[in-house]
Amino acid sequence: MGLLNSIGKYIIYKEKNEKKSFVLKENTDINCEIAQNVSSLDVFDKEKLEGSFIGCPVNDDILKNNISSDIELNKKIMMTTYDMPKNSDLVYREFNITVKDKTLKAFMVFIDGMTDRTVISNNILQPLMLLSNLEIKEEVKDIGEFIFNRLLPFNQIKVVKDYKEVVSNINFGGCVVFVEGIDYAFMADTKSWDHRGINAPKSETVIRGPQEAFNEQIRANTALLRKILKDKDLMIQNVSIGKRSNTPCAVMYIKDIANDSLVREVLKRVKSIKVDYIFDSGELEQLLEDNTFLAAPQILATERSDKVALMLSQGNVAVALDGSPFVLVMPATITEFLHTTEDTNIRYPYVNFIRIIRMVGIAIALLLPGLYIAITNYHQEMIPTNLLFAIEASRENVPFPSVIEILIMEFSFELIREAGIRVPGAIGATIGIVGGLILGQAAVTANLVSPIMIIVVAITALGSFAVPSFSMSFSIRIMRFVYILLGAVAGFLGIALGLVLNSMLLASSKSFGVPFLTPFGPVTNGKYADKLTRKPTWKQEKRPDYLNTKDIKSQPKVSRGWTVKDSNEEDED
Amino acid sequence: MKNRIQFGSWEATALMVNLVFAHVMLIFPRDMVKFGGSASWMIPIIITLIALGYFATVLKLYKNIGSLDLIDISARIGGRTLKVIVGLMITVFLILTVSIFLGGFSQTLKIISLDKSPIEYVEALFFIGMIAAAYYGIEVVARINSFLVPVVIIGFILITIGVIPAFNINNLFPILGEGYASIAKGSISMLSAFASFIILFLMVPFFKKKYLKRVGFSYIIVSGLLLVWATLSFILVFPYEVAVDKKIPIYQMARHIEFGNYVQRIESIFVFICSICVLLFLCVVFTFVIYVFTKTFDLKKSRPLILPMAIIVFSLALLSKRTNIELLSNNSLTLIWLTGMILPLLLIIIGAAKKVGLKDKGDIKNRQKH
Repeated sequence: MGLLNSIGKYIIYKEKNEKKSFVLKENTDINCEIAQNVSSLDVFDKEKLEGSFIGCPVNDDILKNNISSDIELNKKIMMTTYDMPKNSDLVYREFNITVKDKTLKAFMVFIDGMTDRTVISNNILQPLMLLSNLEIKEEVKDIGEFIFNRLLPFNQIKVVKDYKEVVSNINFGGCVVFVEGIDYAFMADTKSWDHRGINAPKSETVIRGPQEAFNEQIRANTALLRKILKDKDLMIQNVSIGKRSNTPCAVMYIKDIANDSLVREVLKRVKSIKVDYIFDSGELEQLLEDNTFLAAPQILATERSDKVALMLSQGNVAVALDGSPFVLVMPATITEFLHTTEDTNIRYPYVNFIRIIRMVGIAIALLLPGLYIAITNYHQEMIPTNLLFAIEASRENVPFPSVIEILIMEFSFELIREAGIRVPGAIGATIGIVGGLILGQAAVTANLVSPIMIIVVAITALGSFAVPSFSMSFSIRIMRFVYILLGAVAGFLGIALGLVLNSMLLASSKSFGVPFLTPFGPVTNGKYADKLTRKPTWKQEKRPDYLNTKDIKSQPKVSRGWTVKDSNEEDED
Repeated sequence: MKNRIQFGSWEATALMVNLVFAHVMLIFPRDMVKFGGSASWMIPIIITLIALGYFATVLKLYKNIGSLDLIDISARIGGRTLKVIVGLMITVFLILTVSIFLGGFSQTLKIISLDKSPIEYVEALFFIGMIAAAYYGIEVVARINSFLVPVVIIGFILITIGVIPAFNINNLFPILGEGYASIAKGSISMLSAFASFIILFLMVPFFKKKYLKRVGFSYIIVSGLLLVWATLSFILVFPYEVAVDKKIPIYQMARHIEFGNYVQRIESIFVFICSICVLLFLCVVFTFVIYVFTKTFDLKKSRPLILPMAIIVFSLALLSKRTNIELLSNNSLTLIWLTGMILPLLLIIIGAAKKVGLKDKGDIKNRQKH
């Protein structure tokens, strides 16, 4: 039969079953207000509207109401808010509590996966269901107070009075208990979920210094800072961002150092953000920064807890967002983007040496390709004769003008860099081989580019790796292309014009009221010792003048007590 | 007009020094040699001393003026009419300065670097810088001067250090060059290098008045030292007879740098530092053109003025393109530059006599108490 059927398929045409294709329909506009009150209204399509009520979101106004003592109403509101039991990870559990011969209905709601089930069972459910059956000797005046004081042996429990707070706590790993006859609920902080531990920083590595980076948990991050600073005046103010997500966000500062108006401005900006959801501090950075179109960043994003702690101690303000391993620090001036935390930890001669190297690297990353184009096109006399012959010989067979050549190379390099980040780890090494072979060997052999150009691009790439800040590195990469074009159109005059225009652009921008080029333009007074170079640690007596801190002195003039001759010592002499 | 622009004494000093230093980048050392011959290095010393005396006098008079600038002083002296007259005079003076220097600088760069490009193209590049500067305003221009001017000066000093092996002490003899009369004539004529005083007295409200003394003296001393060093190194490298024919002195000096096989002919470094210096000069003067005009007519917005003014400057620069470099060393025109010193002096003398800065009775009482 099987054989016959198979042969039959080739002889007899059989129409295929039509595959049902999905059409994404437009949402029907439901007037939720009418739908919610449809039973008491005389409207068309009453039956249809009654069914559609379930699709309506719970109005914020309802959540703003105070909790009712009617447990059935509370139950209805919680069920509707979370669309239970359709919503599978929401746990709803009813139980009874007995208080002095009186049995009260109760229920709890929490989200599975975000809470600690053992804690809920042992420290909330068990006491409420079992302890309440024990003989009560004292007179019970207020049932709610009795439950709070005697029946809930849990360390983080609080009373909440409106549904909005209930919902935001449940969403963030809380467990809520409603009890019949009580017009408030008990909220236990039972949050517990799987998360990444504290690892070493990935994008800001140092040799000398702590190896702790932030993770995605806001509390772990704030705890890291508390642990480093150990300062009672460290303030961590909670703000939630996101109309729907209510993502926790912490604004951190040291209250007797940070400028009040700066703190107010940061809080104002953070609180004023109106978005539905926010996922990362990168988004927050873009919502907080002063100038969107400026190439240079204006807020420092770092994953290093010691860097944030250091900047807080100088008078900056930091903002941490739950779910992001990068903390934002503001205001940020050019110096912050050029320094690393290692700079404070290594000795004075080393840090200045490394900073000079870094500055040269940054200058190379920004200007070298542009200068190369300017020199080879307009100022050939600068090149020593022997080198000029070598360059000329290497370019002899290259069909493109040098500007096209360098643009091709720079574009290829940027492509490799981008691909290197996106490519899965397992095949990451291939990028190096492909990039190295194609750009290095094959392009030269094919006379597409000259070997000297490879050297220029390679040195430029090395220079750009010396930029400590990821965002600043982007800015330099973009500006490099502008300098190439300016070098091509007017030689050194073009580069000079670019430098002046770029300087003006940066000098006109501000980060939270502080000019971006501070302390170089404007030059600030005061003896802040960590500008382009760094003074010895014992000479860093003042905090940055431009932050207008409440306490400008960070250490006394003589911070090394042992250098001053002790009076007892004198006596001994 | 409420003034919100503010910057410190460092920015103001750097800005002022560059206004003088730009002369060095063009033909100042050659003009010195023209007047003084082998004694040309004495002229910058004399003009610096004159400038110091001038500023000390003005500073004393400024006690009765407070933190007013030249426009405010003229308004207090002669009301709106005098304010408009003085404002227009300053605007014209600054437009003349910026257009002649724009032409001169463009021609210089065309000669030494962009020889295949039309002069309009070179001018257009400066034009872009000037427009951007006026758009961002005086505060930003002052800020960038604070860190770019030191770079320019260091570059210049390196060039002059590079030519030390070519110094010939015999070039300084005879000590008095062409004689007292020639040195004296040159000193008066070349005082035009300090024509930028007019801008100092327009800037007073931007920095605190207590810094006027610091800014003024440090500007004169630093500029004087640069003028002396530029002239001295120029005359030490080139004998008098050769020096008078050198059109762009510092560039010609830079051509003499030679350290082994690999450090030679680095005159292009001059192009780089000269371009930055010139751009800063033009940016500052043009920004002040817009500022003075806006303030004179109490205009609420200055940005609509930028493009028309820039076109006027550009056209004037093109008009005089054949004579630009020579215009800068024209003796009769040099005297016009002295307007930059004479006009402020006259206004400040009258203002001080009328005590325009102490208009409020309270202020006068306070001063009497002290």
